[in-house]
Amino acid sequence: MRSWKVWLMSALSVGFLALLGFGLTRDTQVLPSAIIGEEAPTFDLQTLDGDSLKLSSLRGKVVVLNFWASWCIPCREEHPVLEMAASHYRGTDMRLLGVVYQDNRQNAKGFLSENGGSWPSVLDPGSRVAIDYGVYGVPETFFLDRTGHIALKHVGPVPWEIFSSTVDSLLATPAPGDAATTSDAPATSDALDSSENGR
Amino acid sequence: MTGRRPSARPARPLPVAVLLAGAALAVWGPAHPVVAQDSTMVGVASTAAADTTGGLSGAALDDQTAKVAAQLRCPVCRGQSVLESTATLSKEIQAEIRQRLAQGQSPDSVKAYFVSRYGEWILLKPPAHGFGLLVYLFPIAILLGGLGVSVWFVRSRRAREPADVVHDTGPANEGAWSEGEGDVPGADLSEDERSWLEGALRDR
Repeated sequence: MRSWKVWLMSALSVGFLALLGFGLTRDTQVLPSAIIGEEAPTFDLQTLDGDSLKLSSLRGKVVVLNFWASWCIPCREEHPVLEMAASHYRGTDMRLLGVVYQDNRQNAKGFLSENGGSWPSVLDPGSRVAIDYGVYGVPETFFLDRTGHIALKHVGPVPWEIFSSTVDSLLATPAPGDAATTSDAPATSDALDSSENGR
Repeated sequence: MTGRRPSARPARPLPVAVLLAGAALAVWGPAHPVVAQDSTMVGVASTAAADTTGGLSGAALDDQTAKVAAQLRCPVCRGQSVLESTATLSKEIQAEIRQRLAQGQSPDSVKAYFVSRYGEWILLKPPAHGFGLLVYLFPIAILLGGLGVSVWFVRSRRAREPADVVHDTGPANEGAWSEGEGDVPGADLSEDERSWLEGALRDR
């Protein structure tokens, strides 16, 4: 009689503590993303120079989408990593593309002339593309594989180690057209593995 | 004294059942108006769809935008709904909701769009499936557990205390020394005790 009550109470307490432990050890600042592994939403936006840029025109390349703003302090911190990436991956299939978030052309251009940066950035009026990507702050960086799927999302300034390891593994994955003879499945699982490591 | 107990026992399951039903209603009640609200939303959308280009317009669009916005979490401030929040992103999300509704999308599909981008986290009310179900089941479990513990507690107390002691400590008898009641306090005192007590009360 007494022993089953003791067992029940301890089982309930352990369960409750496990739930509390799970809840309290999670990083509440990092939100789960719903679009990892999904096809990246397409867009057709104007660059800071006024040209039109379609995401679909970069299909087959490894695209790194970086949401940023001139008013964003962590973006300033992140900028040297992006510059390093731009020069390190020059001549490869990596394409770095900035998406200006809640900012205007003048301020964005001012930021780039002050801090450097030769890669294109597009303007996102009304943050429609940012919402399409589930962005909730800047900087956020999305790594797209050659098939246009989102392999990894990084919230906050992206460290060079994560940037390089992710892009290296995505570049090592052949585009589906080139690799018609080899199976597609290991390619995608490779990309996902690297995103796991990157986290 | 002892005659009261058997009559009290069979009556007990009823209050417990009423309590349980009340608890269940309290927990599940709030969920129903929302379901009803959703169906009226669809109703509004379909009637408005008839007059213009397939989407909402005017006051119906304002209403519907506000209703959907009230159910979405602001991704920046997190504790507020998109409707309450003054964050730029919330305003932009509201504009997105409005545009989608104006294009003729149903409120449910607009919500589904935001869930597909931000995850179920974006819904202020957690979905009643998977891990979110815990939020709905936990209050019931705790209520039932608490009820079980209190029933067990009362029973074990009653079983431990002798019947006459219950009457001496009962709050109804406190300070009441009225004549004509069946259970006069002190009725079970011995002659010696009674005279000592009366003497003590007189000398006071």
